[in-house]
Amino acid sequence: MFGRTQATTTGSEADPMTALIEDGRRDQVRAAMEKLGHEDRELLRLLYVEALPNAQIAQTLGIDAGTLRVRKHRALKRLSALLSDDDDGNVSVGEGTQARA
Amino acid sequence: MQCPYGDDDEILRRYAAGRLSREAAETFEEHLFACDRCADELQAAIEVRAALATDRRPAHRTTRSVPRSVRYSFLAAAAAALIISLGFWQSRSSQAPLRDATRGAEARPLAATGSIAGETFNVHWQRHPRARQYLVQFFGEDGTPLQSVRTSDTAASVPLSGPMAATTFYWNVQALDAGGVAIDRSELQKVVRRDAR
Repeated sequence: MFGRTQATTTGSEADPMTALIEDGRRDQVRAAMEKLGHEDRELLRLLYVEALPNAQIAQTLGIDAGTLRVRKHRALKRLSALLSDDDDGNVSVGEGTQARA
Repeated sequence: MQCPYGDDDEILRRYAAGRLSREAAETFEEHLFACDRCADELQAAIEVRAALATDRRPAHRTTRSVPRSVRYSFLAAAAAALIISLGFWQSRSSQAPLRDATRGAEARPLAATGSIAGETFNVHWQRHPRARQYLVQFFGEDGTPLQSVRTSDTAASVPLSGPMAATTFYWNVQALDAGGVAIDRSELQKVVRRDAR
């Protein structure tokens, strides 16, 4: 992981941050996303890909702001748990930290 | 520490999407280095965006009102690179030394100097007592990673060709412990080549 020449160019111009994700990790997260339920996946897409305002997401999903916050936390937690299945480590995502056995 | 963005997570998401103004982005970046919660969520946001990148076209709005000219500042990508390269999201066990090393005013930066000699850029830095290796990273003006070098020495040389032919680039050095965790790092430094084409 360290020391390799990072010459990633895929999408780097449009989204330089995501270009920093190694392909293997990208596939890993993508696989975990596919295992998520549709609701979680759609919520994370609205949150982080579309980056819509909370009010708009809440309206789209027909929920209130408080529920949105809870669902976001849970979706991140579930994604984190799926990713940790491969890594068997301690994981933290988003609003909270969860120590996994 | 009370996170000022705790009740306004839209800023983090707009930052990850490159939609913040430069001023707002810089303010958020200063906060990012001191707040684990935001660093964690930013890491998640970046990885989710990367994972769904190929699926974005169908859902992507073509009438996005945000100008595409809004770009990440250098520090944004550097911060992301630090977080990502150290496996920050997944490695809570190594987070404490990482936090101490990469954040906080109490951390003493590694002393490093760089100089151009002909077509080579030479970097030297002080030896860190606990470092096993060092990671030298180079970034373009827009934050794009250009190259990285890992060595157990306290010096590195990089040819100013290929990706390093850029007129302006940034670099820093990280000291890594036996586990590959950064325990110290130098200040980010900017290089402007007057002789470049």
